[in-house]
Amino acid sequence: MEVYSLRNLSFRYPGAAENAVNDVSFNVSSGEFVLLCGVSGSGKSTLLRCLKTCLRPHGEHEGEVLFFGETLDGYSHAAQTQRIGFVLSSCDNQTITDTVLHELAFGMENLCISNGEMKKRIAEISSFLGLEGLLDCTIDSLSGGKRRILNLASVLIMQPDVIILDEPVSQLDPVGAEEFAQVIRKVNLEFGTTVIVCEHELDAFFSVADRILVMSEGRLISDASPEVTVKELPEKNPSLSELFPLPARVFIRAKTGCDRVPTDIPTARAQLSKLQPFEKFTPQLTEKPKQKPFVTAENLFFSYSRGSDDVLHGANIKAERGEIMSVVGGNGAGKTTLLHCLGGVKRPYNGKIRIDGADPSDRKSRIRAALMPQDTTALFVKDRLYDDLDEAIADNVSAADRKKLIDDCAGLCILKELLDRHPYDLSDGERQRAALAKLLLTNPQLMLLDEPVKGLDRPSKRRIGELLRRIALGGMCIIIVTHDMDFAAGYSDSCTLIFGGECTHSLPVRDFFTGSTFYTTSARRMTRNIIEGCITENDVLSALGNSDGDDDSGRGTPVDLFCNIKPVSSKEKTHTARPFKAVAAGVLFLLFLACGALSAWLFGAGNTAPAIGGCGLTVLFAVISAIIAADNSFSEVTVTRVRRKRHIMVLSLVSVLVAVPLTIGAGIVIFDDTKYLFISLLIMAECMLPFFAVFEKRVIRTRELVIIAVMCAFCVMGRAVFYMLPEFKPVTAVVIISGATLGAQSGFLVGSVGMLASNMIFGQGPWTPWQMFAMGLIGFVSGIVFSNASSWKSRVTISLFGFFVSVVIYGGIMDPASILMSHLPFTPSSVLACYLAGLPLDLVHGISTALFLYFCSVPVIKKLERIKLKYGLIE
Amino acid sequence: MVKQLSRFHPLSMLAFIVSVLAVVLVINDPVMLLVSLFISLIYIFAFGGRTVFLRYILMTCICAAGVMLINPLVSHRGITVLFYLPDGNPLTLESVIYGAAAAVLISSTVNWFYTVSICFNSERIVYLFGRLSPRLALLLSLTLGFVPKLQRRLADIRAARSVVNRDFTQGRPGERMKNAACIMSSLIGGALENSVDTADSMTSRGYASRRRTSFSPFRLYARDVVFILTQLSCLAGIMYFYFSGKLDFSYYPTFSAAELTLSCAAAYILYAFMCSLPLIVCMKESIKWKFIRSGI
Repeated sequence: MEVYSLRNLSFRYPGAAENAVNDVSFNVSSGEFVLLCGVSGSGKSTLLRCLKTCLRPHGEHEGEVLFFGETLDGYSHAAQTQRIGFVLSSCDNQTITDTVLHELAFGMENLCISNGEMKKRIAEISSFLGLEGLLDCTIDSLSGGKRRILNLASVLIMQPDVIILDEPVSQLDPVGAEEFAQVIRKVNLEFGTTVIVCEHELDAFFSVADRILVMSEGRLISDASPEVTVKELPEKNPSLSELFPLPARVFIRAKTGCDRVPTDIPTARAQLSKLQPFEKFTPQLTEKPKQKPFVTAENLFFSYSRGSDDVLHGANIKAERGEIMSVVGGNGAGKTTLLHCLGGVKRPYNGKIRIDGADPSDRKSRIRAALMPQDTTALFVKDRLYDDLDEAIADNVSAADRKKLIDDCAGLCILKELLDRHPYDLSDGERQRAALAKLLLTNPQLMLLDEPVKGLDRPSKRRIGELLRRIALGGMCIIIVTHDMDFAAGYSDSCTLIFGGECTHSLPVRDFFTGSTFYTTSARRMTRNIIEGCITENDVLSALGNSDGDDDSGRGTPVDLFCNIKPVSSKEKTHTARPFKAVAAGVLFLLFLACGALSAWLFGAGNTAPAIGGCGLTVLFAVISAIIAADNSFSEVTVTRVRRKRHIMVLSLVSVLVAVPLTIGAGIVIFDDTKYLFISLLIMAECMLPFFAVFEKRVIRTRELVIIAVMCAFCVMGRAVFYMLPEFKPVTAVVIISGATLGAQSGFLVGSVGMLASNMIFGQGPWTPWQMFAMGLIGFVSGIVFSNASSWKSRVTISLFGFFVSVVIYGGIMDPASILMSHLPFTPSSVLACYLAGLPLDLVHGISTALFLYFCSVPVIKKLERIKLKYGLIE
Repeated sequence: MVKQLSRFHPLSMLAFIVSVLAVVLVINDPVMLLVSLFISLIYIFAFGGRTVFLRYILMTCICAAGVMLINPLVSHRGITVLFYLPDGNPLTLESVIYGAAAAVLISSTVNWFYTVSICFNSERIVYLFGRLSPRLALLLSLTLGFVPKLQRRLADIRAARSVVNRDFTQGRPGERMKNAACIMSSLIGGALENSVDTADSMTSRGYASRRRTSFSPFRLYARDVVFILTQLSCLAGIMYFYFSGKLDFSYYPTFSAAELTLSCAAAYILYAFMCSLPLIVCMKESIKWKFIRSGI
């Protein structure tokens, strides 16, 4: 039975000149294990996504996809969900809920499976995949490998006919990758589930697969069994043999004359030992003069809190200028922590770190280090790569030099054509190079790279490796943490193994890899005891007498970007003068604050007439400063509106007009008008319910729901990060921005759910409903105020608005709430007293909101708008 | 003990907390308030141990003292004047006593919320909301799933930036604010881009705006039903006494010195029983365990 038959499938992205998938036809039969490979950009992911209707990207497609003999689009969404399991490439982003149990249940809930059946399936799958002990854990606490297995489990649990996996192991460390490949194999063999895998890290799957499909430039150029593929493809297309696993590569390039090309290490060893006996391979090494170590770390001890286990336990490390050092070791061995200690991000509680004789955690010292995190998107902050690179350069560099630096660096890192792209639109390899460029532009002496080649295909890895070599030749010290042994062997000078927080040994790279049996490269494993001394592919090739292999170790010209750059002293610094308008607006804003405080004080002192005058002045100042400030800082941002039906208005109106008076009446009749707290809680519930009711019933796009969730999570984060500063938090700013960009309803949800969720972490209390109501209201109001894109012109306006709503709405609700909660008498004088007492904190809240909005609103709104446009959230 | 409490179904716990709090919010009978305060403290001691208990006692004292002091200063109702304040307003005995009652009330409410936090972990809250609105539950669950992802990302961003002195704890105030803005926009940008994958994954696993079942790991046992019914009937009983005027206690203009009738006593005992029922069940189980173990 054919599971899939593709007939002349072509796909073209909107606006693209060429087809991403071009005239592809193939069949997949039931129970088959198919491996799809190709260099990055060959269209394999796009092809894979065309195999499930809901994942197919927007664009034109031609040809047919048949699923069990019928056209794929004829199957309903539910049927496809159940029968086609799709595991996406990103491990973290595709988990949906917070706990393992709910993650497993999610798909089944959508298929309307009964609770009993769900429990049964969860029990089955978790014992099959070894997740029993983890069901109650949060997903966050799982290791990368386990998370991958969870991704698979949450798809398998729907009992699909076919599972499709997009780059399942390239993000994993070798142990995790091996484990995951075993699981997939088991699923394929024992359940007879058809498996289609797309991967560039082929070593794990190549010999397991029944068929290999090779794609190049959108076309399917080979469709055969692994043995036939390794034999025939190199003849047709020699450059693509780079895709193969190492043994196949070596045998193809060495032209040993064997008629069978081995695809895995055991076969390769058997074939090698049949050839003539080899001598020990001794490469020519250029002796480097001994230098004084540039980085030394002695006996580092680090733990996250007192009493918890040590992450670093007496780690030592030494590196010189111009040296590339790889740090290898298992998961949780403390590699990243070591890197952070060297960068001064974390401080070891014991031990000494010296970089060029200075302590990195001492901020006054002039060491220049740069750190590249595992997820390099964390480095990018702007909307254009050029701006992002510019951001990295120190302020004291003149404009002309900046441009030259960026150009040089882009040339070096092969980024010239990409400078105008959005950093997130780059491919993985391009993004790693862009990250390196950004680090280089900070003019570091020491580069700390965390997994720089994770998830990259071989050509991209080679480009990064060669780039690092050139940089190191310029005198830079580079320390790399990696799981990729082949990369470490190919490009580093020395290698350190870290185990249990301790550096067990640190040796020149050759000695390191020839000396160890487990932590070693595939070339070494293939040739151990047959050809001694080989650690890389090129070593093996030279030992086999093949000289035409391209020389990976060839060192290019050294790099020194900053040799001609002279810092400008801070006075000459090219400083863009603040426009007069902003200064004027700021002064008026201060006056407005002063007037507001004054009139509040006057009210408190009982001088009503001057207080009213003060209020008038306050409003006047606010209006003037808003008008003056109506500059064009938003002119580059166009805010699009998400249209909504008006249910919510009608419902809330009904609720407010009918239910609220009824409640108050009932309160007066039944409780003699004394149970303010009880009644007010009821009223709040009545005001909030319509929002939640509409949210439950209305049609909402999944992407919109997820974006609302991100904003809610952002509220929680804002409270967590600024927990030590009372009331100085970005929460209100986030809620206002959400309301302004996503609409009033979503604004309400972000506010109220954000408060509810954050109280789950900071403690629920009688205050929870009040906070939910107040924040929700802020989101709602800002949604209404900013619904008309022309009504806001500047970030000063939105900051002023933020100040007003924080003081008036949030303070206005939370201050009297504290009277009600403490059962003090609810009289005008007590309310006024309460407002006065709460005013200082309200002002702090207002000012912090205004500040956050002033600095963050433009970039954050830009980001939200980009997502809305790119993923079509606006009708 | 905490484990035993988590064996109750979330609905049982909801019934328990709602009835306990409803009584305190509606009825301001001083004895009732004292009972509530006393039992809530027992809960804290039983589930939190000594350190938490002492912390709560301290917190309770501070906040009670505040309310007790403020009330007589702002409220001048009551007829038993103790003395006159410097501004000429009277300080009355009634308002002092009312302040004390309010202090007991607010501290017992805060204390009960400790029990709430023990009874309702995020899983249970999500479940309860799921009963009302499955989509809201999903939103909560998504939010809670995003928080650790964002935290990890934030740590990454801050690490990379603090090496080059661009964290929001470094530099002059203006720079700090700019750095904070950069970090915030980078954090949100990445999270939003990644969220598209999450949405794809949801769609791929069949999420669409239509009916879906909701998975619950909880099972409503017969004992939960009995528990809920007991709680609700206790609540009904107390409310009956209240509305029939047996528990009418007023502080102003002067104390309506309610005599301790039989129905009053019945209401107090009912309330004490209602409050301590989960504790009794847990205790019974603990004792049983001890018994079984000694039998082995």
